[in-house]
Amino acid sequence: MTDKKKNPIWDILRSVKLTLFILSVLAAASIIGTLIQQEDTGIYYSLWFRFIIFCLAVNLIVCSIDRLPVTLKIFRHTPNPDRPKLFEEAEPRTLLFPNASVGAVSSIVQGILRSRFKNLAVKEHDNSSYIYCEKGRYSLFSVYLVHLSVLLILAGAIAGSIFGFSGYVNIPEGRSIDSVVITSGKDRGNKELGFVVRCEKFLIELYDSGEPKEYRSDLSFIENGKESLKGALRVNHPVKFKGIRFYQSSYGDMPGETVRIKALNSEKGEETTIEVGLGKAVTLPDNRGELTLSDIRDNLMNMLGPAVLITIKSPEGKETPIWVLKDRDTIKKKFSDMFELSQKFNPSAYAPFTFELYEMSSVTYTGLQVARDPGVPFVFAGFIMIIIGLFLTFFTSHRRFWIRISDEKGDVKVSLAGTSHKNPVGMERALDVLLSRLKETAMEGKHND
Amino acid sequence: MINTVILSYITFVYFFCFLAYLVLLVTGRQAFGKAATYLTIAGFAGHTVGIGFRWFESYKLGIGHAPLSNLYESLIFFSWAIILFYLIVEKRTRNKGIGAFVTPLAFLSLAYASFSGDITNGIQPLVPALQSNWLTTHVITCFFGYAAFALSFGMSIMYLIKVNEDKDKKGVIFNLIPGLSLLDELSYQMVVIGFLLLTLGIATGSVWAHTAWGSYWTWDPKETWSLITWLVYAAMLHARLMRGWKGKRLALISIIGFICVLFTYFGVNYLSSLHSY
Repeated sequence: MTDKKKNPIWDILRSVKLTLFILSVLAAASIIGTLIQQEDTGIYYSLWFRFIIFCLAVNLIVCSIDRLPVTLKIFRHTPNPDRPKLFEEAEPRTLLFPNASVGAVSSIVQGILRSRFKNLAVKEHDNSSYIYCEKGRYSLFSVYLVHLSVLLILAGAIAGSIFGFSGYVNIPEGRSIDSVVITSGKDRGNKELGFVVRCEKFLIELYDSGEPKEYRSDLSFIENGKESLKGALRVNHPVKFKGIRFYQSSYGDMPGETVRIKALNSEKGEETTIEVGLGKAVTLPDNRGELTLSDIRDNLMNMLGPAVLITIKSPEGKETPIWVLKDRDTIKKKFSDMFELSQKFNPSAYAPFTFELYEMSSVTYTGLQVARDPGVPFVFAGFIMIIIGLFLTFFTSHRRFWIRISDEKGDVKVSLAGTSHKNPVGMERALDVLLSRLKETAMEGKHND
Repeated sequence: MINTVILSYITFVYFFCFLAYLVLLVTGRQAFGKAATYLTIAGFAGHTVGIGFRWFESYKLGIGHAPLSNLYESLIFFSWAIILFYLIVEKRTRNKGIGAFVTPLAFLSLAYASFSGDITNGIQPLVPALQSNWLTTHVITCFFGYAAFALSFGMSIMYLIKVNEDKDKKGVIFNLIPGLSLLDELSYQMVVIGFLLLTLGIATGSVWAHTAWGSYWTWDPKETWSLITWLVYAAMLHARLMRGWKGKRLALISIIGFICVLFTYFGVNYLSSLHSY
């Protein structure tokens, strides 16, 4: 493993400079994403964006692998209590115990330290006593926890994008669906759920201002003909069934299943109104054929507006399908009459009748968002871990203390020094606290005399 | 409504706080420092009362909710958080020099809320998506985070001014403000607190989005910009802790970070977002 350190690629991958670079690139790419593609978030799912995130993950993993052995070494190793250099470098905090012996003072000091610190190590020579102790050894790992949680969140996101999906479905009040439209994730398009969802009732409550206060769908989930779950679905209160979550996301009106069609007989100049349900057949006046309502569309071909498909069977058995448009006049103005040359769009294709879509019933539908994301538990666990990790990283540190107790012409001098792997200001404060605690002890000792 | 009147008066109080801190900085006379601190505490108390009134009034209207539900209320809370953080910092460091750089931010936020034509200050009922306990948690964590970043921004501006002044050897005006290293340390600590809170804010927002919108992350422009802000501050922390960056360079990143905060807060309103503010 030692030659790893000589590998130039490894050197680049483990560098914090690269981290800074990737973080900047990722930020810049995200900015571009919000400015260029406001409606479409496709950029964030593009290969090159994922590649940047991949680089960040690699950098993170390599940094951790690279630094972990050093951290473990510090974690396991108890340093030499006798470190004279530490007392030379900085101005050490000192304290005098007059007319005392090194041994007695050392045991008092050790008593104090033992209750507050860990891994006490003592060394004695040349009539001096050296003590080492420390605190917060586990804090060394807190930054690894933060980085691990970032990886966990990314893993959750990957799991979600591979095994998850999201889509929508509109269910008219009182009707059922057994499939949904998947818009992102695997299997885009129509997806069979394997069970039936029925919207028993849709309720909406408004504020005085007319804005919605609450809307709610009473759903029942039916599996193999048996109702397995009944639930009220509200905004902010999704319902989960067989690993798929349903969210109340919208509502609206859609064409109902019955329409009224006017049939004008041009020979007689007679007008008849026919009411017909989807899939049902009605006989035309004077037994001139049979009209079947074959289809109802909200917006035919996404531009022709509401329309119905009627199929007329002549007494001879010939079938004529016709799309009858609700907004025929507007559409004609918009596109010219040309499209009515096609038999399929000509309301007079079945002579002598001309058909007009007079009235469409409407029903309220509930708009549901449908999603399944097995990555969520990982992501949320990552969130909890990153918060704990950041807290430990910033507010705890591994503090190491060295105390020298030496004879100073009959008096005993106690010197304090220490280092911390971060937050040097906090370390200075900790040394001050320890010093004043020792001073108190020294004072108490005097009183006892 | 009485609350909006109180809050618009507080705007002026904060402006006078700013003037008092500024005069203190220029003259060095402690009397102004004392006056500034008392005025700020008084303003903060009035500010708190104003928010309390607004909360109370919403219940009287029968649409009771914490006053954190629209842009107006968020601006009020943002400036409240800035002053709260500032008072804590002033008390802990016993240094009033930073006041002149922080109180104007609270003043501007309140002034924008109270006197801008595009901001409605009415108490509105909550639309279904906002009826969630996550609303308070998410908004409070985010805006405390923003406030911490705002303080770091003020300190960084101060740092850059002081660095240049030290070079010119003038040093008349800024003899009061904390030493460069203390300013640097304080600014860094504010970023640490802000970063922790922003992380919490993103996490709570994410959990909320999971229950309200059906996905914990949808690259909504506000989400994306909060991530950008997070990345900038993450880079700043790495630069300082791992590469030993300090002073000028770090102050600059803190300023860039705060620009990102402002864009996350305001700029995104011009992009299509599911966030109501």
